[in-house]
Amino acid sequence: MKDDFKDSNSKATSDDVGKEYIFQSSGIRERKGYVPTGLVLIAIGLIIWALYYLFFYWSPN
Amino acid sequence: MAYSNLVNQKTIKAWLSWGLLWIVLFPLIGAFVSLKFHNPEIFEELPWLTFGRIRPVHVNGVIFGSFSTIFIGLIYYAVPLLCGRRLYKENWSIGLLWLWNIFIILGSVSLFLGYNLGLEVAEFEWPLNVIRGSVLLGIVIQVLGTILQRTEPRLYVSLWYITAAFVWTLFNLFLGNVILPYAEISGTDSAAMHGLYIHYIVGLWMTPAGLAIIYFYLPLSLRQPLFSHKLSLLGFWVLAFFYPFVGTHHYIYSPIPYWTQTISIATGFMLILSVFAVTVNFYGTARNEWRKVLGGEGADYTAAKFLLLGALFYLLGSVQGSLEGLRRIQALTHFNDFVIGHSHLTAFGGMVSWIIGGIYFVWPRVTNRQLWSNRLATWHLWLTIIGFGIMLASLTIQGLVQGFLLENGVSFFSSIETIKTGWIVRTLGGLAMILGLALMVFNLHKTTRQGELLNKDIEEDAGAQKLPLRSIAQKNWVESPSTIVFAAGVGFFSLAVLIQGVLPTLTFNKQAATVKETMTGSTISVPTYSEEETQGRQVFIREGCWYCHSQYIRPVTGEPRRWGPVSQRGEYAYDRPHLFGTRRIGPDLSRAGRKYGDDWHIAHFWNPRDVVRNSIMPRFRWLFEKNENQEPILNQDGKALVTYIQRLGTRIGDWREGFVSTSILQGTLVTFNTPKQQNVLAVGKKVYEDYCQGCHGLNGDGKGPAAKFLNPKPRDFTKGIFKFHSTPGKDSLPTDSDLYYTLKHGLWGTSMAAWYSLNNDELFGVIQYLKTFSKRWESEELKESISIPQEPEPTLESLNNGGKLFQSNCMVCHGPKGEGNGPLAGRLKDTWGYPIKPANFNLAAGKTGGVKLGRDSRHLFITLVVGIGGVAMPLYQDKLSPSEIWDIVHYVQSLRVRAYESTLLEAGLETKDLETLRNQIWTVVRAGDEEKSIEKVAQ
Repeated sequence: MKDDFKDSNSKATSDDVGKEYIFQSSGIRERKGYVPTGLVLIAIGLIIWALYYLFFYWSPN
Repeated sequence: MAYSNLVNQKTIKAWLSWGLLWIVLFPLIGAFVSLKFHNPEIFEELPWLTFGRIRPVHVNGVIFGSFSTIFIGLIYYAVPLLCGRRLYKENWSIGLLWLWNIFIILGSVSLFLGYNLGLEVAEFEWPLNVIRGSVLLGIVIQVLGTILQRTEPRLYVSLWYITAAFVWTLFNLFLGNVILPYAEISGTDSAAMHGLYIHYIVGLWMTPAGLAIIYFYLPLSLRQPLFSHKLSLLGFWVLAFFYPFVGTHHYIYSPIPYWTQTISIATGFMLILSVFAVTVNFYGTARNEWRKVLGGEGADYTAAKFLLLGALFYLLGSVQGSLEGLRRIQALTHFNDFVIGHSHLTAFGGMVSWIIGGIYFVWPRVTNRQLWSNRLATWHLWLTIIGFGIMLASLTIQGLVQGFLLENGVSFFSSIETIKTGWIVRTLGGLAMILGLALMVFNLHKTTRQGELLNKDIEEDAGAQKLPLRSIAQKNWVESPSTIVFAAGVGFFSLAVLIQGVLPTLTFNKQAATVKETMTGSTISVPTYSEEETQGRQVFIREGCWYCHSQYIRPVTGEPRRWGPVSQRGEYAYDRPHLFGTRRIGPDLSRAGRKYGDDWHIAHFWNPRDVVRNSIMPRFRWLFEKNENQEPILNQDGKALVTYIQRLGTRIGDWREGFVSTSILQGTLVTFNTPKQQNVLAVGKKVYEDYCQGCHGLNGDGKGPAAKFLNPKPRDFTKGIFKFHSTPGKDSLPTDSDLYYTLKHGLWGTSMAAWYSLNNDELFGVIQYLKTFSKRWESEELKESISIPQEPEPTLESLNNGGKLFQSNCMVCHGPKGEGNGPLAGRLKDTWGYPIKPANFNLAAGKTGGVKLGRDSRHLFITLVVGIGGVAMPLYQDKLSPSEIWDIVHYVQSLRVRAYESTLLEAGLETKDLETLRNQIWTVVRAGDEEKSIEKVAQ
């Protein structure tokens, strides 16, 4: 996948994330981008909470 | 390659033009629905314009007419551009459009006419479902054919969502249109499946469709690259995996297995990750462009504004949805306007805003004209923001207010009364939104006619490559068409249906038709519906009663005290389809059977406002015909509907016999020493006018507008004679406590409801107000209640003695077996000259013809001692000793105990210890002050 993305002129936070892929017919450009750290932490939190909830609320008592 | 070479402008314009018609019409019908909340009398003589008929027209119309028509038009633009080739089988598109419109028009007409399968958002009859399914299948072939023939090597995120949305929806329509209505699935199993179906329409059709639109049109309208491909992947796969499990959260606290509900809550919360991922992606895309977006004019920037506005609403609505799934929040907000606010926030705020953004972008490109008026577009935007903001705020606040009121013991009627003003605000907000939509349509119409030419070289239908159908090797398998179709589309969907829909059925070894009987805890069978009950159920479905009246009691927010025992799984065994409902604009009806006599229902159907002044229920005049005297009487449909309602909640045993809400005596904790006493008559007058005058008349003479339907006739308060009093002497005035108990308990089998839902101030107020109708209250001195001696324990001997005394004293009216058919029974009249019937002591609580104020020992003793006001029931104070009166009391109670025993045995009672069972029934039947006192109940 990495090969599909070309370097863009826009600001990049790392070598990789600023690379863009251009969909030729539509003209849409897409950055490879990144997943913000905050979102990773939210994901971890949600998974832990979901497991806790499933375990403790599986049955009414 | 120019877009005009790849897309068929005429086809897109045709789809979008029809979509523009639907996007004004169906929300307009929604505004009419909203109008019915505060002005129910408007057009109420027309069956096809009642709330129950037009509500599904609005909901289905917005989903399939307004949203889906425009969505399909927009993907006819996006898919060829993303694939680098013209649409596969492009020549089908116009034919599909006509078929689609036939579905929408005939579907709406069928709902207006009352053709309704009784499943929310799956109401259409099968021919219409065939048409809808065929059109969507045709579009799936077009989309997948184009994708497989594409020249663009990569598959853009919009295509993931479009592909998945169509695959999911085809499966879902099979679930909702074939399996649910026609397979042998009933009751809670039907509800479990249906919960999934409803949410798939939103979560696996509208949501991915809307996301496909914003993912495509946002980068184009901003002329910016999409922020992050990684976030696109994260958002899509989290949604694809978790969303299919979520639907059961529509029925939290229902008899659907608890663990299934828990899975839906946990997976619903996981969706927050998907929502955050896509909104970060959208706002990341726009992050350096805010100045241009906010200050920009023209079609593209208008598109961007609506797309980003929709993203904000989507974020808010989705997080709100996940939170709503939580049991605590659900207890507070489910069934009320909060949920309606949520559905509008996601559906209109998110999805519809996105397709509006898409249409602003595409319309100039398919008409080759620049947007006619930027000012109108701005007006549209602000009308949407303000109108929708008002509507959302009112619905959300109303929902929370009602939720808290009910949690704090306020009656359901009062809670509705409190939020009524908000409904007017909601209508005004909705009208502002519709005005905005109308301005958009006008603007786009003028664009076509008078817009300046686009400065682009447009060629009609030119030069696309015609490639043979072939698949293209994909480097990244997680975004390949086959992975999306088979893993996301088929795999996750099937897994969720299996776990959330099928497994609960298997776990419980199919829907069993047995329940725990409420008096004894024994297991009994639930009988099937009779022919007339089945017909009544069909009328209930046809008239859309189930859109306002739910049919399950939750163990939260005081519902068991408000309506009756918590719902049991077995009660629904023969419910096909289930009628759990998702909304309570009126009270829950699970336990409505025998709450009122048949006459009350007749009066209520004729004009609900005759019996509850502020009711917003429609009148159902088409359930009546004229008799030979030209008086309105129920027709067969009406009779069947009453029969069906009278069955509801009566198959779990005779729970009314010991229902604490109607049985609580005044006890020591009830006092009337509140500050409101100073204003007591004003409170009482309002209560009387709201709930009593329809039957008892404005002047208390028993001649209210509903009285003509009622038998026995409503009490004439002007004479100051009341049926039940604890004071000595014939027709003596009752104490406040006597009246309080009658109001709380209601009179079984008659139209006198149990007003336990009114608070003590209201009850005390109306008691005082009743006294203003008769001079007796001023001229006579109120006596003290008789004292009741200690009740002896019944023995075989005392029962035999009671039987003998009954035959010599009571038989002449009540009959030898206490069935109300004694020799004098047909000749009795009350003080007003109306014929009356002696009570049948064998009948169940609430049955017409049975006892009226219960049969607990205290009440029966008093009645024997002081008689019943206004009727021929004699006083036995000086004729029989207290011991003899107790014997008669116990004998009368034993009649019901034996009758009930027989009923249970007929219902397949599973018990070997009949003696214990009999004692349990007896205990409930004769429970006196101590058992029913507030102190006892509070324990």
